[in-house]
Amino acid sequence: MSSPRRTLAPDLASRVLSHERDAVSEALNLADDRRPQQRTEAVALLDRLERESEFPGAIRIGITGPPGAGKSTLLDALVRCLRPRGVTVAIIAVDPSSQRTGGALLGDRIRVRSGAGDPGSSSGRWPHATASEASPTRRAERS
Amino acid sequence: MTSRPEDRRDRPWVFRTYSGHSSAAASNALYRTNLSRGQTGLSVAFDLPTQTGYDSDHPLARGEVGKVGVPIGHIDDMAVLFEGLPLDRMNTSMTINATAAWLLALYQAAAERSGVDAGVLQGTTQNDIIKEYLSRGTHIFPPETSMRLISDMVAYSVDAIPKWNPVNICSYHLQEAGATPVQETAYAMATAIAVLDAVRARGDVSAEALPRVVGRISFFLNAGIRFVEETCKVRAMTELWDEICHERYGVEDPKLRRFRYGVQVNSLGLTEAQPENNVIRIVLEALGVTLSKKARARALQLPAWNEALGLPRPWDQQWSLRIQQILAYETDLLEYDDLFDGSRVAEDKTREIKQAARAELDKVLGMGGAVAAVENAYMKQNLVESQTLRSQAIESGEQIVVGMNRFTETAESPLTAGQESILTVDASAEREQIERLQAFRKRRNAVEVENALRNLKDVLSNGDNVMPPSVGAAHAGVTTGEWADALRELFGEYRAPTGVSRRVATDVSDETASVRKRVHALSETLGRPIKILVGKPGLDGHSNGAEQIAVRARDIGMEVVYEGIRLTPDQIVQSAADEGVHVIGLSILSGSHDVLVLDVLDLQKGCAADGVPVVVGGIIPEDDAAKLLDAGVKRVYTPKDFDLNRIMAEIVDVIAEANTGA
Repeated sequence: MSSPRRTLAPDLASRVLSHERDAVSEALNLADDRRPQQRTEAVALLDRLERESEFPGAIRIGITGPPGAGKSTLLDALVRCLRPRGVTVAIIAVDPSSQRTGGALLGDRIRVRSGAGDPGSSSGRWPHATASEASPTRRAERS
Repeated sequence: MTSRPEDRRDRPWVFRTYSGHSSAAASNALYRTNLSRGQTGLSVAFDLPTQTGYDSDHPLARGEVGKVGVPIGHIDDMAVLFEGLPLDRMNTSMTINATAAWLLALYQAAAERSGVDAGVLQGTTQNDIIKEYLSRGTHIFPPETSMRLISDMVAYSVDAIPKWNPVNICSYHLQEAGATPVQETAYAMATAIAVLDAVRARGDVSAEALPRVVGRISFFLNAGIRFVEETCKVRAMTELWDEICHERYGVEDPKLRRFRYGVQVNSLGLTEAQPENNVIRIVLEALGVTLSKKARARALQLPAWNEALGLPRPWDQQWSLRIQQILAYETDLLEYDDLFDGSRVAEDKTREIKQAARAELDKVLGMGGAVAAVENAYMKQNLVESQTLRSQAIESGEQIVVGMNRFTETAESPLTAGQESILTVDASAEREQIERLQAFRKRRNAVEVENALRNLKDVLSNGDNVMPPSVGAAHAGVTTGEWADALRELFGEYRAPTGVSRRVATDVSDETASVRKRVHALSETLGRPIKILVGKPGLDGHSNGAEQIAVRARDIGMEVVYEGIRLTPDQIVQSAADEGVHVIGLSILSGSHDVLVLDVLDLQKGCAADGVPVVVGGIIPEDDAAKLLDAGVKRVYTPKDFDLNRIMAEIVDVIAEANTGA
């Protein structure tokens, strides 16, 4: 049985920059990894992405609020508004994890409905993630 | 001379068995057999594609056709289902919700085609969408649209099919989802109020007709093993409903305020271990809803003793029917007035449930009613919390379940031996149903179908009643998928909140603490917290088990990706890849595990989720479990596996094994 996380390819940054969905997922796993070596690799990766991104110095916006505040609805509206302009969108959702158990429920993310089935948008929840950006996907290439 | 008690026996309730499978013809044969054995009403089980508005050849229907009920795709299917049965005298209950308006239209059209006037049809469409959002999961449309469809049916049937119960408010599924008697009572009342308020607000139902509308509202309850409390629960509901009808809707005629209800007794408490004990449980549960004359069920359906193992056979269903017949015809139960009137114990308990239910009902009404309490997840969170407390009590042994967590030593049962101990749906059923559907599409008049669909959409956009154009569409040969697609196009689809996001404050057992330590240690080794995806592939909406797994996984320190019901294998694998999960847990209760689990394993190959181990839980017969393990599934869990900590510990093992050398 192979490891669920493949070994980090040296060209991860290039793959992220060429909008490969699986690479974004791998990069986020790396950013989430607390082991020292992975930490160093993550910092190097982020540096390179920052340097070579099509949008250096991109603005990061966080949307937060208590349950029922309308975060999903707002995100949904943003995606609906951005997608027709040909922009690809990824939603990085961050849920709080319990201080005591470390556990977290990352649920209801596909309630952002306009994202589902649209290959130009993807969403995922990352309890410890920083921001990132994803785009058209392997699934889109397959279908 | 006064007559002897046995000369003035009450008429028994209606005897039903929830059934249907494979095809309309096979189900028709089953219904005839059941009626010949003394069943007095029909209870139609539809398959999941029919319940969620897909034709049998839709990709989402794959593996589900004819599994948990009969597939009904068009008027010909409906006609075959009732062939040779007297529709003008039959009392037919249909467990149908999101597509209830359509199935009622098909029923009416099939009756009309055979020369029976709609005005004489008797029966019930379940049509309670609130509990679908909360527990059963066959909803399609957003709450507002769903409530409109329901109130359309109520407004239509009160004159067009006056003996029909257009809505059957179900607290059954709430108890299956963990509801306490108080919650069951309060949420059922809140749902009934939501329907009646919607009808009252329409404007096309006159104030004079409203009491008759109120009088058509019926209920569908659950009965658990604590049968004394259950007796008091139904008494409390009877009183509460009477008061609500009077106070809120001004119904003066006491007949129209009667709490009319049917029952399916509890399935949640039936065990896979020593399943023969379930017969005793079913008998005791039936007592809870028949003992008290003034709160007695109007119709009863009993589950089969072996339903935790798979689909029951005709003989298993017959055994349950015999329970009802013995209770009604052999015992002296029906010879007496109410046994509990004047009992201080019963009256105190009834009052206690009623008062607590009123308080909870007021709380729900205060937040805007049942629809609002679905959207803000209030009711769902309470149910998940109750269910969590229940499963913890069983795990700890505080709540005794004979043969499962106590007295587990047993001689080998002669009843469960052998491969033929459950019913399996022939794998060719799906293919044959698709062939029949495609032949039907060819022989119908395409122009009539097109016109009927255009008319349906026009009426829906105008806000007029959905029923007349649906009956027209049924006659024209529109299919179930086409009807539902027309509505999806206009109203969109809805994903209900999963209800598992609230912290449940509970004492943590030593076992939980010890698994948590292992989770933390393994997370440390892997560099980030262990992440599990809990997925429900296919159309099966029974999410209670998946929710309990999700909650426990969180409580032992895992990060849990849980996105609710009705996902395709493709979405599940994509999500596993995006989220970088360490393990995928799949939950399937509809019997479609053979197809859907293998699809997930196939799709994993070559993508970022390749090699992520898969575990499966559900109603999975032993032979099938062996096949899944052969195909690469790491563990299979069935209803007898109640010890969540043991399941969690094994999942940690599975992850550790998959990551050795990582």
